[in-house]
Amino acid sequence: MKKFYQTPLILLVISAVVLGSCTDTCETVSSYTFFKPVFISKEELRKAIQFQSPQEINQSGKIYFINDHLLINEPNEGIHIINNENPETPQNLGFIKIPGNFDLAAVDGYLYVDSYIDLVVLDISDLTNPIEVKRFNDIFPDYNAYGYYASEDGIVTDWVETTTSEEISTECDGEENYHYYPWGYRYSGGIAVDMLSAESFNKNSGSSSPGVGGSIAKFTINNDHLFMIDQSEMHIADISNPASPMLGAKTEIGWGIETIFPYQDMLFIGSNDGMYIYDVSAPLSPNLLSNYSHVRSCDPVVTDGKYAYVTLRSGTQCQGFTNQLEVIDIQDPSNPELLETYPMYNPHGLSISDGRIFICDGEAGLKIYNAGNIHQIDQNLIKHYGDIHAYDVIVQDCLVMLIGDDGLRQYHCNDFAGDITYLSTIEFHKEL
Amino acid sequence: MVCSSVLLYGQTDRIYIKNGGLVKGKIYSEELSDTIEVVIEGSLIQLPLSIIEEIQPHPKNHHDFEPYKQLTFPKGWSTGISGGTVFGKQNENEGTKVRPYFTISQIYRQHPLLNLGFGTGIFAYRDFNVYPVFLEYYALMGKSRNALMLYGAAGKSWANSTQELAENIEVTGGTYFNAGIGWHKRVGTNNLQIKFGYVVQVIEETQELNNNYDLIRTRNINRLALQLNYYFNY
Repeated sequence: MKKFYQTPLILLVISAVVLGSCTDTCETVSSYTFFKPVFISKEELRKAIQFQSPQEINQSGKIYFINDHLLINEPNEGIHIINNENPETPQNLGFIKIPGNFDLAAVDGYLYVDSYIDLVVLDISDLTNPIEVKRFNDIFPDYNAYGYYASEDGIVTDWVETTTSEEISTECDGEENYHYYPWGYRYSGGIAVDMLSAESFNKNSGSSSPGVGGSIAKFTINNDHLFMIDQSEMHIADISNPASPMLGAKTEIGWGIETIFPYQDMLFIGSNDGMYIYDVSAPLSPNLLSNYSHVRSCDPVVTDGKYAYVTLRSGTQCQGFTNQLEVIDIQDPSNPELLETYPMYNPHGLSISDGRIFICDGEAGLKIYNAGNIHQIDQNLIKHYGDIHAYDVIVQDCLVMLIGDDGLRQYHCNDFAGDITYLSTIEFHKEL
Repeated sequence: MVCSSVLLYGQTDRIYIKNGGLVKGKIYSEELSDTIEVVIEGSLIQLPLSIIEEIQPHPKNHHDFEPYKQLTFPKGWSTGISGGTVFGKQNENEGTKVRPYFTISQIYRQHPLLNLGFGTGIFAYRDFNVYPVFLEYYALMGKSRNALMLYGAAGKSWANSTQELAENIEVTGGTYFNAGIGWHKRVGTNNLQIKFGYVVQVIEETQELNNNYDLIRTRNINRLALQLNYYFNY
């Protein structure tokens, strides 16, 4: 019997000895999700352009109309080739895979495209067999469009959501030091931030957008010259020999450039705080004629030579509160003068053709005005299509193309009535 | 006879009854038969052998019969409550703290070595209340009415903080372990246990810094536990 009493007593003593070990033990794990960039080397990138069979259009970027064909940019992916000889039955001919492509311009059978940091010239005399004839490497070194940028590791081609956990502390009741992933983050809005901004953002617990945005390159052709805007600089190339452009000087034009519209010997450049008018009669030496400033907003701009039409709209990316159409007298391009302002709902793209202004007014739909009297545009509404929601409009030889989230709709404009007749839709299969 | 019984009062034989009772007296019978006679405080009473679990004669009482033992184990259910204290430190910089805990449990007694059940309770730590739900086991080594016991319990617990926490901090429970030794005493249908062991409670404190970023601190609360249990058999 004694043993039964002795055993617990011994164990009690042992337990007392180990009392010192009766202390909480902790392990703190940092668990976080981030977007990790996927790189390809420049060598891989420069072998990647190829023609492929027709593919679904997921997202529309810039649309170019040439020789009865539509070239529709799929941002970051390439260009869809659409035979639009008969707008009632457009045919998807194929897809030119061009990694990192956001803009294009074409002339005389040659297509100029950006491919991340490069400018590429393609011979498209046979649209189904594009041939790369020239490439300018690293022409856009500061390229940073929609989170796709170049670095020493190569070029970012994708971002993959990655979740990771790591132990950062074993102290109980201690303050943990936050750990940050060094690459930064990418958000669904397409904004990339660097490491510093990522940390700053994280410390603020995701209160707002990081505010460091990218910009996409913008191309246009005027007077045998190709004008390319990258971030805040404008590159100019002489394309009088279209197959072999000659790069000229760069011109600093400021930040926030959104649209570039050529007209005669001038370039009308819309930025988010104004409109710049450049004289490009000497294309390699553009001369800033004037800068028409307005409140900060998003502002597509078009012109008919006498007047410039600018739409200002509010919205998350535009940082403004103004929704209106402005008519600016540019007959003296050195001294643009605001003539009229017309309130709008949420105007996006616009186009002018044969004295008619087509305005994509957000949820309010498409509005067609007679611009014959610029002082009474609001009283000359020809037609209002409240059910046509688009963010941009192209008018070419009475063919009206409206670009929306779900597709590109084509209409024929009726000369006498001024309204439009539906022809066809090229559907976009937007990935949600 | 009465005088001799008085003289021998300090040398009592012990007779354990199967229902947990204990009879102390001087066995008068010279041999074991269907009935034995016992002198208790001068009175002679008769006990059927069938109700006797064990006879422990006093060594100085020289009986002719062999020691008698007919161990039985009362199978069935027990319902119990227990209270105790846990003691240990929340971190290295603090002294040992003693905190209370209470549990209730339901046990099925199948065999001295197989007593299995389940229970729940509350452990009131300084910064947390922990509510375990557990499976419980104990084994008796020795007589079922008076035995050394080994016990263990394992389960899962819920937890909440007793402090006012920031909105982005959430406390959740985790696994629960409890094991140790004790002493079991049964009197009739009543059982008393004193247990001494080690308790480990796991809880998680999750701090959501933003939609993509969490800090998860897993805390093992390691404590020694001293516990008093009462079980009722039926």
